[in-house]
Amino acid sequence: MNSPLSRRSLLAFGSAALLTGLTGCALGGGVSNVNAKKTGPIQYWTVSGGARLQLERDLVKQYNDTSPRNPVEVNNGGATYANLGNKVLTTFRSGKAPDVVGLSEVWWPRLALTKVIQPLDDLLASRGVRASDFVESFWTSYQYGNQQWGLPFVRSVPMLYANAQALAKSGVSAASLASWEGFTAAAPALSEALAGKPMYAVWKPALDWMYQGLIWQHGGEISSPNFDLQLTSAAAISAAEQMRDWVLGNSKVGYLTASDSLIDLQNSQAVVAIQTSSGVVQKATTPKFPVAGLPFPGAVGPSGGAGLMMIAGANAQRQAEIADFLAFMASTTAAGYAVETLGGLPFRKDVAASEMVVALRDKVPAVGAAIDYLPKTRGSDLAYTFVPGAQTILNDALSKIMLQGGDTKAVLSAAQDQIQRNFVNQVKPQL
Amino acid sequence: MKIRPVKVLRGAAILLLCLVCAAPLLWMILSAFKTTEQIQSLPITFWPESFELSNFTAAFTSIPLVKFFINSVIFTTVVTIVKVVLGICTAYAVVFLPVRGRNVIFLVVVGAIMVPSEITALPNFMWVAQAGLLDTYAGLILPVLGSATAVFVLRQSFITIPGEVIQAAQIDGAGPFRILWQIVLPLATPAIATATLLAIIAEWNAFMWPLLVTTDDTVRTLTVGIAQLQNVEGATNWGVVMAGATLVLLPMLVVFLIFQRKLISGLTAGAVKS
Repeated sequence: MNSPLSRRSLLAFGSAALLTGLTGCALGGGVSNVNAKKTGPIQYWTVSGGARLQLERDLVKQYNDTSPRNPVEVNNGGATYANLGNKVLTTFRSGKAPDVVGLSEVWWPRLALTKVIQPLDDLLASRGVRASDFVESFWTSYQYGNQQWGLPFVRSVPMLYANAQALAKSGVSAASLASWEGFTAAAPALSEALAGKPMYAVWKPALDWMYQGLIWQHGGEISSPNFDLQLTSAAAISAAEQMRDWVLGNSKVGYLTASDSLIDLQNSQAVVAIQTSSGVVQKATTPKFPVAGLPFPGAVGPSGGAGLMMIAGANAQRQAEIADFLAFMASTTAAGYAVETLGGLPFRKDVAASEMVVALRDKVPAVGAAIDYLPKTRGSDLAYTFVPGAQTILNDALSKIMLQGGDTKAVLSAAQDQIQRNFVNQVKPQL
Repeated sequence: MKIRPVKVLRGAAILLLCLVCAAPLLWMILSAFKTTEQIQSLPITFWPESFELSNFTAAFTSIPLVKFFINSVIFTTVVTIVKVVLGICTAYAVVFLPVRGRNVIFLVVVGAIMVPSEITALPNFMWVAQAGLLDTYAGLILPVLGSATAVFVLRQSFITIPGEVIQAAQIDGAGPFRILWQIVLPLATPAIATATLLAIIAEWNAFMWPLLVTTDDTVRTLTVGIAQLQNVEGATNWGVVMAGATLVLLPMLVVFLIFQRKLISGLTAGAVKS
């Protein structure tokens, strides 16, 4: 009496498995096809949520009010870049990915290499969007293979935040902190001005980001444009040793902290901290005491932040509609909004001279310092953004060098091997 | 009365463990009532200076929290009920019905526990998208209705029920449904409570699946919703995030208090065979 049930269930099980397999094949086959069939309003996904999502919606409403051929809908696709990026990857094959997505620098190479996003050159050129209108490093941060894969949107640079009272008391001029020599030389006076507290709270999450800037300042790079890693070069080693000397040895000027270094600054545990310029207005206007926002020391530095990308495979008409929207997001209006409301830096050159930005920098001088710094920024080295895990590997290596000292070259060389392995396994096959 | 050192030690150990478990939760709840300035001030202040409700109002006004809450309740309730009912039926069939190869079926079900949800998410997403169920309750709920864990917990409990009891009921003329309803279920309440609680916790805290299938705030659940309180570019207002997290946690605390007695006997059920 048992056998019929068992046989039937086995059959059901088998056919279900077969059906799943077939559906899988059917879906796998027609990726470009499913994306070409997209209809309805243009979908734009962002990491912004809550009040900030509303601010982005307000900006897009300005576009929709111009009665475009196809209006745009903004939604939160995940609260972090990792969540949003993974959601885009998952949804792409079923044609349910958005048309435009705002992601960080580590995400666009991944999406570009897997053909999830498409280059924008022709579409942007047809709308009169010119590279020369943009801050150069912001624009080139989205270039690979002579193609433009994204538009800069909410961008940031590293900034040196300092306790303005201690700075004034010590007699150290802000200008002298613009070079690393001046920075190190100011340590005793700044410490003394704050009851002997260390000068610099070194923020661990920013180590790899600052390191990229320091390597450039020492005349090297993380990788050449053809992905040759340069981490054992003299420049890479001396840059890492400069960072080590911030926290180790007799001439140390501070300490390494994994928790928010700006909070240490606000609690008078340190005089300066280097962090992103994102939200600089809030950071410089803390309730307790004035915080000065100064440029990242040295002649050249990195930048970071979010850009807009276009999901591949839309049909010609939809591509044209998306291009209309991207042209708006590249406009002076949107650039001004990104600065004034979203806390980014002006990605277009003309915005820096606008009335609004001039008023803002009068009100918060730190904004001016960040803007004046923009010509000194440079787009990231390819290995830094293209190789999965490269930033974490670098960060770990630098932490090790800064906490334990030891053979700098050996640690960097091990990190280089690890990054090289990831490159060979995960990036090279897709280039 | 004599105080034994062993008892004191044991008490101290229990107290320490409670502190370790409760401290982060307490910290979260207290931080929800602090201003940003207080959260970030040194030396660390444990008790809020004044119990500020502004973080809660900010959490409510910046995201559609009530809607998220209702969605979470709908999602958790429906999924939990179906999971437990399906689990009871499957476990009953595997233990009591004369099905050939029932142990193999059980092994396949248990094997499913080993498959991480990340693996099934993609195929599940494919069919939900194809069926046009993205951003709907159906798309959110349907693919997660089966629970291998529930089947496992219930089967382990059912198997301890003496065969004589079932046989006696059969002799008295009870059919499978009557046996399930009047004999098995009352004897297995602790296990059912355990399965229910595990399902409630899993669904209430589910993040990845709801994130994948929902883009529209009208069907999003609380976990995905409150993640939006964080701010990737710029400063995060931790007080508001803590207020949101507290609101997610509270219903779970209440549920746990209701279920805890049953849960503990459920976890030890079958440990000793009478």
